[in-house]
Amino acid sequence: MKELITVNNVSFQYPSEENLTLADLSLSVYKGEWLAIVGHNGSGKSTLAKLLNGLLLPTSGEVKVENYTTANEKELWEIRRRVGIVFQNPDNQFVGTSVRDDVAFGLENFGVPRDEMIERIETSIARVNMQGFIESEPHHLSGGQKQRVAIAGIIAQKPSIIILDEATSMLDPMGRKEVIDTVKQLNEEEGITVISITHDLEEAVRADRVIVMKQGAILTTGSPREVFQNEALLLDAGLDLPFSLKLGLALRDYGVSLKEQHLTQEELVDALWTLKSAD
Amino acid sequence: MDIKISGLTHRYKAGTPFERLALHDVSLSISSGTFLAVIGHTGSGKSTLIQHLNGLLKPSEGTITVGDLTIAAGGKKKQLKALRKRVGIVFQYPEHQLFDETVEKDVMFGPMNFGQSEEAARAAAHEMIKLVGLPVEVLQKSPFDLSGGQMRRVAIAGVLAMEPDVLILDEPTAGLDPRGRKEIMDLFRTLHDQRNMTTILVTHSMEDAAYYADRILVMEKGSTYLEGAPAEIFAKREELQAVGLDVPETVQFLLRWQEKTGKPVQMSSFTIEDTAKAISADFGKGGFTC
Amino acid sequence: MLDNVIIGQYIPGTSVLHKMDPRAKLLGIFVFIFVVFLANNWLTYGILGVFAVAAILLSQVSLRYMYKGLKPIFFIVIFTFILHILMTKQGEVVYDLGWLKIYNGGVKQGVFISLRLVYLVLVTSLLTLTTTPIDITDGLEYLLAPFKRVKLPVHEFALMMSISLRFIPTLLQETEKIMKAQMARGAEFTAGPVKERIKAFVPLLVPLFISSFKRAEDLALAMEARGYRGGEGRTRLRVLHWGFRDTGALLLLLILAAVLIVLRTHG
Repeated sequence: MKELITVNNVSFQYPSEENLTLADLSLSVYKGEWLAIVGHNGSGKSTLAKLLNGLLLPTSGEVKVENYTTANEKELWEIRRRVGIVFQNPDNQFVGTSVRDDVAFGLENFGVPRDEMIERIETSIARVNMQGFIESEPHHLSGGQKQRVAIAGIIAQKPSIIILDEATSMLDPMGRKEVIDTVKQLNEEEGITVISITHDLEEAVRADRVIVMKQGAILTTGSPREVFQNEALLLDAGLDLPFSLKLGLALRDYGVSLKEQHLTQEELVDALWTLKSAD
Repeated sequence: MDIKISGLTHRYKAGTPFERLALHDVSLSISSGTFLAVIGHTGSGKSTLIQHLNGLLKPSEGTITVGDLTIAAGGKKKQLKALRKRVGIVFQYPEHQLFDETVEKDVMFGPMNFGQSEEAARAAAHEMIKLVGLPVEVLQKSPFDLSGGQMRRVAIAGVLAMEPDVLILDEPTAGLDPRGRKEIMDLFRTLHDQRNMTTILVTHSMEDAAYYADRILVMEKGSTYLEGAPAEIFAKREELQAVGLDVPETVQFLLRWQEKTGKPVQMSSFTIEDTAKAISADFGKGGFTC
Repeated sequence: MLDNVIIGQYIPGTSVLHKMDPRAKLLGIFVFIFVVFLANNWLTYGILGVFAVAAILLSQVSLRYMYKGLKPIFFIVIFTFILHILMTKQGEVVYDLGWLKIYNGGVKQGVFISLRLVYLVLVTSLLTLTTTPIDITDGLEYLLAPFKRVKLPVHEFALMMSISLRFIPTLLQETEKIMKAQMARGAEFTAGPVKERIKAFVPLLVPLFISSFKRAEDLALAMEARGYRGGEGRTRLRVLHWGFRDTGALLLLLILAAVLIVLRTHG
């Protein structure tokens, strides 16, 4: 798989803090994958997101995106066009006075010619299913709709990576589903790489790869199946467990012992049924 | 404190071209000591309903009775304040309401507005800060020097310090991580039990409604859609799905299991432990390993 | 009270005035302000009146709405009128109370000045009634563009305006939310003496400031993430279209000015 982002031995310290927020962290992000980064508040995951598109620069180490480095100010713009971030608060990232103007904002910054801009705005708004709202003002949109507009603004820039920085944490369940479905589609159909920083373990379970962070370092990384097998480690990272795992553990307490952990309800039901049939 | 709502209708921006019917003929009784969860998706009228309960909105038609206080359309202002003393409300993102120099002063704001003496308010502040699980040292700190989670607890203490009989929680865990969410919800359940309060929880989480509430009200398009004990409500999956809601994970799982075994599973409690217990019953005694 | 102020409110429409280039409208207003000061007799004021009414009709904004918008300034108009009647001592005495003499010059002057005010308010309201705030901002940015050479931050100023416009409704919603939260804690914003009332606003203003700073910080970060780096090298989606009607409208105004110069009383 092609490596899109390379983080090499990165440490980061905020000037006002005593401790390192990120300590000697290395990771790779591959083309087309959905990478979930989970961790307790203060584990450094949002700081990591900001390092990936040069909003913050590492205190030591290097961040490279498709062979551009964030250390070089001239390459920073290339990186920001390729790596879009959807932030947590839907209101505080909506710059334009209407959906159209907001999607245009990034394109204007990157100097896209007007005719092309109009075309890209149309297609990206359609891509996130907001066609009927092109003239709408932000205060008439729901949180989920605003986040979809933010996504449209990013895909109009033809990025290779979308970072969701807790982008669904302020949304209601419907808004959350809208946003995740939209990004999922982009990931599957257009091969856009997704890095999702999230508390939602049910979402992480469906990722291609999971990174668990604790105190500025990577605790473990692997497929959801590998990572969620290790409940002690998850609890150590201050995380909750996905539903099926919790239920599996509770079943063990009641004498129904399954060989391994199951990530989804479907799997768990099937495993139980097999167990019962063998009885 | 008993609450009775009858024929409550609310029109937003009445008399203008923007008029919108936000609540339509809602009638409901909540007996003292109930933990009620109100569910329904955004725009179903949940927030409008609870804002009537402490007089932030006035009914266009109908009445609200809390204890011996009745608010009707065109009610007096004085009554509204009396109502607010009885009914505390923790809004979404309550930390956004903090303003004073110290945590202590901020928590004292509510009690003093309702005529408590400074000493009594200070005593309440100390008690409530401990109750929400913060060390008393934070009292002298500026609320803005605290972490997000701590700020939320301070804001909650500020509402509890008014010693309301009825506590309304409007998505009190929004934006918190799973651990913070559980801590806050457990805090409210404990408070509810220890202080004999009536608690009304507005939530999007079917799991929270299932674990914490004794009764559930489902709102849809400004009207009451379903009302009953959790076991009754979550037995109606189709009705819930029709309005964009669903049953909690545990029930979803039991339904899947039921489909496999063809045997109905008894559902009255919705915790993960009880679900595991119910399923283990299908496995006979002694346990299995494979 | 605020519901009656129509300056600053936009009414969507498709009239000629709505379709005009905001630059033309801004320049037009500018010219009109000079033209109003040219009028100094019944005929010229009459012509201006016909012009103003014609503009309102063209805008398709209802006359009743315009009248409603004028109400808040009636007090000022009447005050100016009375002031002129009392202060101007020209022409013949038309009314004599002994201690107070009213001259026809004063009446005339009073009427003229009042009309001048009404015309100005009507025509300026037309600008905001037929142009979205964001179009006005765009128009201003273009018109002020030459001042960039003298290091006037025109682009930044325009961006600031448009962001403020974008956030006004958000801040209003936020204000309402915080007010409700504090009222639920027993705060009162309407009762008591002025000093108490000002104090009562602290619990509203502090959270509002804090959240606004937070918003500003978030927004700056989001803008940077989307490649914002000042006006340099930026393209724009919004372009203004200067058409024949815009040139025509400005010419019409210049003709109006010429007519008024000819017809005004000299000397």
